[in-house]
Amino acid sequence: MKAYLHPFKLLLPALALLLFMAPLVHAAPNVGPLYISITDAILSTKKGEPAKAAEALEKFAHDWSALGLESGKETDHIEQALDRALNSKNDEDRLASLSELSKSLTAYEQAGKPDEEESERQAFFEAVSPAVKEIGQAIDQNDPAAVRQAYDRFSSKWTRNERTVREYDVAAYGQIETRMAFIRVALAEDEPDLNTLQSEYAGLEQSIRNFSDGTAAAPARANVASIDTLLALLEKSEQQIKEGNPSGASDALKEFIVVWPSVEGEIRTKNAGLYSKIETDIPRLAGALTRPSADTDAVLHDVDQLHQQIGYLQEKTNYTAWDAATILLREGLEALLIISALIAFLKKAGQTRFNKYIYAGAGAGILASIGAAVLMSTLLYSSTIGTSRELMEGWVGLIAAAMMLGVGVWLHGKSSADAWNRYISKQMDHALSSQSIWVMASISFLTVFREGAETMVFYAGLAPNMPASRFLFGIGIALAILVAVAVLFMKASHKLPMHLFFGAASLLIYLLAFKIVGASIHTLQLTNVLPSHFIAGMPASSLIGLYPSIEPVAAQVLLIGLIAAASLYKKRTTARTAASEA
Amino acid sequence: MKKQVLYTSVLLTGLLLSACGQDDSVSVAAEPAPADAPAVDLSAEVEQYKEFAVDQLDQFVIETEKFVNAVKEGDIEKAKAIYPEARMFFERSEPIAESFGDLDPQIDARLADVQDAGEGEEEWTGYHRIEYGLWEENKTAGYEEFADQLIADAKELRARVETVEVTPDLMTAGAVDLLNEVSTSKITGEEEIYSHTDLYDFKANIEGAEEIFRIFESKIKERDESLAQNIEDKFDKVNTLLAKYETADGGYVSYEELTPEDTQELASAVNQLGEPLSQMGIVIE
Repeated sequence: MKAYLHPFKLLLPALALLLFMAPLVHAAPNVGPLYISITDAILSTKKGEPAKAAEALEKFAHDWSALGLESGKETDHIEQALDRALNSKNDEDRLASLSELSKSLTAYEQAGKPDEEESERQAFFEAVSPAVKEIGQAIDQNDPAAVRQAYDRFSSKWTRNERTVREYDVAAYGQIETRMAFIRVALAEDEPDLNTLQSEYAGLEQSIRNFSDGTAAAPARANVASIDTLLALLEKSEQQIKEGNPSGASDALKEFIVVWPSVEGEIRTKNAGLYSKIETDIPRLAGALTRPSADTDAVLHDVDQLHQQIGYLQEKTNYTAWDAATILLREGLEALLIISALIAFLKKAGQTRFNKYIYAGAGAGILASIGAAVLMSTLLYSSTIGTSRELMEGWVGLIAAAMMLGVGVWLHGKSSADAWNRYISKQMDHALSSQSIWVMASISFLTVFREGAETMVFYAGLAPNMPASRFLFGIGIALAILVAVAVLFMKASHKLPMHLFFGAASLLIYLLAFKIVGASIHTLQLTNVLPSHFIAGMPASSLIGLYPSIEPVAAQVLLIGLIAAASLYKKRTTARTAASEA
Repeated sequence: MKKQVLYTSVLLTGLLLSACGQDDSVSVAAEPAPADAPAVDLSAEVEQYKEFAVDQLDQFVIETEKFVNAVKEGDIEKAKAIYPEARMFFERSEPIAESFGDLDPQIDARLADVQDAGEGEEEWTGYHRIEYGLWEENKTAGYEEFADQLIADAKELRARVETVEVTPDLMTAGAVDLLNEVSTSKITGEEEIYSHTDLYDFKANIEGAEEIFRIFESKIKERDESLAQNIEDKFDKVNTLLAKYETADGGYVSYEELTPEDTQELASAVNQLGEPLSQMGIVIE
């Protein structure tokens, strides 16, 4: 007996567990009909029939409790909204709580649903992509009738599946609808323009593919083409016109049209007016060039204009040579100050035999900085183009600004003579007491490398935004000043009131941080990573990093706040240490 | 002490020179103003559109209720008269109404849509199902159930609209979508194959798109005066053409009365409108 009871004993708890879990496994109950009562209540309220609205709400309450749902966060929300609606004092209040009720009911439904976004995106792609391919093939065969048929098939597939795109990515939805509109317009012609069809089709196909891959619509920029590609094609076209070869020039412009869809987003975000101008002008110019009677001078003029305007977009943030110089100058001076102070200290202490270790450490620091720079340029520059580079510039800029804030605060702290002396003697005491040459060398190394690496991080953000000649000029100036200062320091380091110098230096760094914060946030806005809320009437100056929208200004206000807080904090601690030492 | 002051002032002058150098170049280097203007605040426009859509769908439920009652009372003529008018409220607010994947087809699917989706005729519900009864079979008997289902779906849709998050993107895409709808089904007479009241839907879709344009109009003018004028002209053209087919009672003639030339003319007016209208997106950039 016992022998075959055994399996049942095991099974029973399992069965009990299954029964217990059954309600959880079951799909959520259908709450759809509950919405009917909500609409009844809304419309009765609007018609001025509160009694009927109350009736509808009673029905909702009744149906709701009949569902007998287990209570949770979502159901609590529903009951709160229902309660508010039942006890509302006026129509406005009732309508607001009815809206809330509808939302909380939807939230309840959503909570029960598994997240199917990825598979739905994929399903959408599978549903429409055969029809999309057919359009492409028909265009390739230059068969307008076949293109029309394929387009119609796609259109009906789209209508049935567009909901997925609307739900997850309205921007992509808009792009696809727009492409479809343009294709349809082109197909309405007796002889559809193949170039238009091709470029619109390429855009359509790209949008659909991006959507299924989960690439957000806004930053969808192909890696194959950039604004540089457009500029090169315009240049080529100008060249051809000048050489008396209008058909070659026309070909270059046609190539422009093919490339255009993958770059247009970038131009559209930066200058919508230019975007529409390009859309209309380039096909017109390409067409004009094919006519024997073409006024090539006029076309050349127009192409050149577009060339210049697109070129402007490239130089969105312009840094001056002085910007490049001040970074190296600041970081270099910082390192120089510390090293000179070390040397001066050794001299005072009569330990000049350690000098060479300090120099060796500094040399190693410079080498390591160069190494970091090479690594950075190969890793970051070659593989990242377009959006990602802009993104990197933005983020690196913000990181740099944060570091600058730290450096500024540090310098600021040393701008009191006592604090500076304490700092130096603390560093040196440590090095000398351990009697280790390595500590000595590594202070020197770290000082240089930290400043060097910082310089490189700053330059990674700066260099892409300025011509190489200006960049190098700035560095040259900084180096010259550094050498001069080094000589000065060697001779006079022990006589200088460091704290005054540090005070001025920190002020300068704060100013640069202000500019970099503004420019970086602006870059992130251009790439749609951050939203932008325009401030009407505010002047803009990219030179001091002032941009008329809420986000950069807010960040700059925050920066100023942090600086103020740091200064106050320093003042307090300095006062306290002074007091405790007294 | 004097020496200290000298050294310090030399150094500080150097530093300040570099700082001032920055300022000097402000005036020297002529910087192009930032090419983009940061995005504008469109919350008022979004709110305005949501009010419009909600109002349309309120009317839609009210009219659908009348339609359903007529069907259930067996009053074929009354039902036929309400049918195109009630649908216009739905067609005007289509960008919002079609947000709900199951309800939209339940209310508005044509037999062809149901078949395309691989479903049988028994799945077919909503306005067009009843349209078939009214015009093809000339009866309401047996359609009471569909009528009940229709008003239930319409009410569910209306309450759910409270949850729709309207965005400027949704609005601009919606306007283009409305025109695409006109071109793909209304202009071809495929929307109302039994009642042939396609021109009502046509008009309503255009009105829905025009509403979105009106809401954005002042913002578009700020950005591109000529674009606003162009859209305005093209709407005028479509509306003038449509007015030709208006009947004395404010309705529209049957689609069957249109010649291929008429539809061709309408189609090209809609296409010409579609082009500038799709550029309306500049207001959100």
